Amino acid sequence: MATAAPKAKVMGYLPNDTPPFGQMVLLGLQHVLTMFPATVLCAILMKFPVSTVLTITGLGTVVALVGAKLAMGKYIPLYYGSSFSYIAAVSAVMAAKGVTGAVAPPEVISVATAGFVATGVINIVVGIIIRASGGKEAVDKILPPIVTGAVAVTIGIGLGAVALQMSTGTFTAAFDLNSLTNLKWLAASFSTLLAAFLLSVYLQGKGFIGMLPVLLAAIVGYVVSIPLGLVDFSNFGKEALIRAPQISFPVFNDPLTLTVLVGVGVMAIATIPESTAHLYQISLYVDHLAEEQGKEKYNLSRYIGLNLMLDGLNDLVNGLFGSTAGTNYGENNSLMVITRNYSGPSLITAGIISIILGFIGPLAEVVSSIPTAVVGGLAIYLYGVIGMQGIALMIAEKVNLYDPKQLAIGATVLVIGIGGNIGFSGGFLPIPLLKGVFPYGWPAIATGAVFGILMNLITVFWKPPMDRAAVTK
Amino acid sequence: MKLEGEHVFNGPREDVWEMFYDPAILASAVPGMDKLDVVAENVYEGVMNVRIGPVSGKFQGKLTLTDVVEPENLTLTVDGKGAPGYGKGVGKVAFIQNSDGTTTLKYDGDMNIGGALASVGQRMIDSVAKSMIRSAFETLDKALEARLAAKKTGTEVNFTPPTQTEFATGVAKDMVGGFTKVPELRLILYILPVVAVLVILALTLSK
Repeated sequence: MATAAPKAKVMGYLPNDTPPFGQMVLLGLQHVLTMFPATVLCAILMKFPVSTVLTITGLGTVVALVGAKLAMGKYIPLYYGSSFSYIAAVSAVMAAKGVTGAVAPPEVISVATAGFVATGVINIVVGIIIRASGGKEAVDKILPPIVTGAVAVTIGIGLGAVALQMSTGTFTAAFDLNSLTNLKWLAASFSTLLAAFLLSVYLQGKGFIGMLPVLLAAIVGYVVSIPLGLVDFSNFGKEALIRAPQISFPVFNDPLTLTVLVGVGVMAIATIPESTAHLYQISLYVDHLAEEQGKEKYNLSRYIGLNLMLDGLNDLVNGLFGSTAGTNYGENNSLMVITRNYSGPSLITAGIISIILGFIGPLAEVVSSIPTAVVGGLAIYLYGVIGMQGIALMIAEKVNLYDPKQLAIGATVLVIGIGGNIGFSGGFLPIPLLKGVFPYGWPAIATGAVFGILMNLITVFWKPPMDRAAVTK
Repeated sequence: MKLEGEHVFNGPREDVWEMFYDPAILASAVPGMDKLDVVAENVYEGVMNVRIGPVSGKFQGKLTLTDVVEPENLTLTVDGKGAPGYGKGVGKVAFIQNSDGTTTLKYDGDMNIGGALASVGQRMIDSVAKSMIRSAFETLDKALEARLAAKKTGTEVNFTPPTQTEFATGVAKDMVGGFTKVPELRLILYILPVVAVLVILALTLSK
């Protein structure tokens, strides 16, 4: 059959759908694969034990998803991995404590995680304030679609350089045009990207297999990488079969505690626009699928306050057990958008798989043996789709891109966010103000978001003389 | 806010339609509506006492019926203004005759609420609106029953609409139930014990 049947039933799972068990394990595994590289990298950069971070971020995801279901009867389909936003603040703590090894001792981790408890509490409180002040309507005044959409584009495209570095081997090695290694990496990366592209486009409507393009592409990339010598088998067998993740409870009586509470806690403010942007994106796509299937819409975008409270709850879980503060992952959103699998139970399965990965060494070894180039190939697609979702959000909300107000706000968010994230080391802008809070400079994405919010607020309090939206219509 | 749903009346379509066109009955179905005056053909005006949570006050309301296709469907436009805020709504109402002698009423509309009323929180209004609609149908059910009984025996219609207090009790009951339906509140009720358990678990495991 050369022609695809356009009337084929729309395959996809809505948040409250529970796929059959076998499917759920595979879909969960695909989610794990998607969050794994960033979460592990985060743990390594912050000098946290990887096994603990895998287990506890998984637990945090499960706790948050169950919370949403119990609170409002529907899941908010988001996966909570480790957040990069806290790396700078935590690195400062590690430096102050003189940590030299790859993994910080539990007593130092306990100092840092007190800050995660603080971000958790801040998120929960902000969520309650938003709910009390009128929900989405109030937030839309502060975070209009031109801000959330542009922030989403920034998050995705701002990671573009990382995706290419992972694809070319320049993530760890220097840029060298004469190096054959770069070519090998590119071969592995691009064959993974090509596989993900073909599988996600041509397996649509072919049933369940059409929901696994990322998992299948990773397998294709892995197989291609073996003859290229990119799979490092020497790392196998180093971990114990069963290991117990190290749990460290936060301490609040260290001399550094106050600095940590302010420095780490304040980052919650930076993650709020991000989390809200993610919620809007996923809400848009979930409702699109619901419409295609002729089912009731979920209207998840109304639950901004609730979403932030869940974000905070997840941070609390991570903070209490000595793991890194989390955020809902744009990569996993992209995955859900590509595969149309928004099933909450499959995300819970992913959380459970992640919990198990923390305990079973060899399993984690297999997943982490996926070559960086393969991850890079997937990242080009997944990071890019985060950006595309931001554009979709602006289109869906009918942002008037002929209005100088909207153009100026969007332009500023994009240039500060993307330019800053790609052009400056670690994504920190060289702004030598508030050095106590931002010892490495200002984080570009958050700075861009704050600029956009402030510019928009000016137009809220000082109304422009003409309403362009009314003119063009 | 979108309002849609359906209700099955235990009577033939013509009678349901007739009842809908009786301003006295219509007024009795709207809680807090003192009376409904006919100001023109298919245009009614009335005063309505509203009480939602902490907000209460009088509403000056105008009700317009358009696209009237007897006895199949009509479009209802509600326009209310008052101290507690304003409300505007348009809804399509369809009457479908069922083979078993009952009538299905389908409604599908949009309601916009502003002012102090809206600040009470859209979701709270949502549940109040639903409870209002439900109680309206309950009243209309009783009214229809009385009308049909009167028709059969040829006697006077014996129907007294529920009083303000009866309605207020109904909404209050819904609100108490509705309070634990506020998702954020339920989430807090979930977070507190979960965090407590996790703190104990984390403390034990970290030793």
